[in-house]
Amino acid sequence: MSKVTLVSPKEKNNFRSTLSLGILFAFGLCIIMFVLHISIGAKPLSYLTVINSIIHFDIRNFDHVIILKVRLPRAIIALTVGASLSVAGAIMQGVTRNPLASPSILGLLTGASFAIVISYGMFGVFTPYYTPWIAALGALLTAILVLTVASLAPGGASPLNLTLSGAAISAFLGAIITIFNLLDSDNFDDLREWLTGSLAGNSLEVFYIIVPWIIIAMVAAIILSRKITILGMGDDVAKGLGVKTTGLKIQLLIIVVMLTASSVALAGPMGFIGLVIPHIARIVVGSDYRWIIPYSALFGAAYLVGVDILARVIIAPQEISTGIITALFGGPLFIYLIKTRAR
Amino acid sequence: MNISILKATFAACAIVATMFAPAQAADTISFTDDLGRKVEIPTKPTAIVSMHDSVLTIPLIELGVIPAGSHGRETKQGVPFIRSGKGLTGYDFDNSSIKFVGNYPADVEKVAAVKPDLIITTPWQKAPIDQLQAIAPTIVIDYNKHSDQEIFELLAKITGTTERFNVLLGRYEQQIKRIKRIIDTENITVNVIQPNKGQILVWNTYGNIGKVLRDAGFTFPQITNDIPMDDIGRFSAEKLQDLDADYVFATYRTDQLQSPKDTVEGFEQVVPGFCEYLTACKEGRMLVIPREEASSNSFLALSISAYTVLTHISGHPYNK
Repeated sequence: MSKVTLVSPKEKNNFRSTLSLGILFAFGLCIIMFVLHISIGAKPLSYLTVINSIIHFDIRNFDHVIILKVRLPRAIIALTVGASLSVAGAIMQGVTRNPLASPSILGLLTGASFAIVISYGMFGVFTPYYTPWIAALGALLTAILVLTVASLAPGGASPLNLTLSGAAISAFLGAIITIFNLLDSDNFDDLREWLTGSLAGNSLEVFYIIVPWIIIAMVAAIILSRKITILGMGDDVAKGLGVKTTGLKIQLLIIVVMLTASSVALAGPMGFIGLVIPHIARIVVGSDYRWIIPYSALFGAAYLVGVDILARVIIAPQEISTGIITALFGGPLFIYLIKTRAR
Repeated sequence: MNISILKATFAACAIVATMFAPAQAADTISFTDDLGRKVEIPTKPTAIVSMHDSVLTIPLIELGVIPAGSHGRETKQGVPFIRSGKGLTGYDFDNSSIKFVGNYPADVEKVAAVKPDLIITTPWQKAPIDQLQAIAPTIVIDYNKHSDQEIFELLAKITGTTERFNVLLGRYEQQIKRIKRIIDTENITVNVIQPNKGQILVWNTYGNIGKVLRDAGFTFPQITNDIPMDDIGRFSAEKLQDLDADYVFATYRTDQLQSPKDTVEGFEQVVPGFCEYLTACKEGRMLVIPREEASSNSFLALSISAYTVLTHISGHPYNK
């Protein structure tokens, strides 16, 4: 049973101002995490060195190279992947009205990874120019497959059926990836770490290819955010309010695929971000997607950058895959959120 | 009920397998393997199946024992091969009597078809030990509990080839003595590093090249010495300079048709322009060598590694 509360225009304006300030706060959080990311690492470097490397970059100085060529690209990619997966998860949760929807739960991450593993295993293709497209194709086909299987089940594409269908297809594709691993374990070594979700050794080469698509998807998500809120009220209500639901869902699916595929191409499959971060955003801003989308993007970006700092320093000078840390933190955090929201 | 049927089937299979197995040699000895199992094995096995190509098959061949069957790898086209087999011993599946018994897990039926009188396996191999034991006496050698040389020695004892082992060991020791005589090893730092997806992998003692360098008395960076023996360190790109040394060795995989260029590209992924920041590379003292010789459990590979170290480090007397 939902409660209907009347909000006065003054209260509404105050709430909007608070949320606008919140956006600035979230943006500030991203900047703090970003600065920490490029300042902290396996090799201790002073803030002065960090500033000098930015203002007076000297290519002969290895400390400067660490900051601008190792830490900076990694921080930029972490920001991008965190924001992309969080927005993708938020859209999926809004469209399917399923709090468990996310690129990982609904199989899109596995689909994108599966396509990359197959193309690498069978054709040896693992290049910055083709990987994003292959990942996009894998994510798109998986999304269609999950939707089809859920639609064929009794009750149609309900939140539960979508979750079950996503879990089943994800497990199936995961099993095929494992078979590839068993059949060609020597060559599979190259992909093993990538499949855990890794930000190590990523250059901005792939980023430059992908970033235009991410910007387009993000802008489109913000433009369509009001309609996602309406869609969240149910298809009938949305249609009654003049929203062409089928067309909107297709547009949103394309956005989700673009964001998920871009993230997988950049860093491999990173679980839990798309599941957890939209919930945190919803706790802060409520159910209005005009706020959920930007908040998810900023929280997701800050979260992944923060997690990556831990991945780099927790057992320094050695490193752990960032995807392992996102799973280690994401799982308990999600359980906590479920418990908190259930009360 | 079902369990009884399974047990009966398994027992029947074991009996059939035993019937088709060659008559056991009268002389057997009791051998306690690395899982603590006491196994009666023939004193002079004539049909050995090795369940790990590079760890067991190569040493067996070097000891003069041609196994009846061996684990192997497969190319993308499905052609089986013994890793480093042809390069180090001249033997492979296509030019010898050694039968391919599968990869990971090995095919138990193929093992049975070879009719072995001894199976030697490792904990890495997934083929179930109880099924292998039903075919022939099976012993487990755990390479995490032994150095490469200890495995060699163990295989020599099992196959009665200790004399041959001592000859090979003597040759290696002679080569180490020669390095020590010619090079002031204690005052030269060395390291063996490997790029891997933006990180740098380092072992305390990496394969043959690591063993040669340690046995010859070279000095390793502290960060490498701090890695536990037989363990692997995954370091951030930021530690590149801590891993620097007078001579740095890295490897590439010839079995995957790689070349030194692949390893160099790997380092470029770790740190763009890495060579500028690694003194050994910048000053031409970084060597990228084939991994097969650098890591296989083989006395020939040890010899090659020793020769590589000797010639590359002492072979520039004009360098100051």
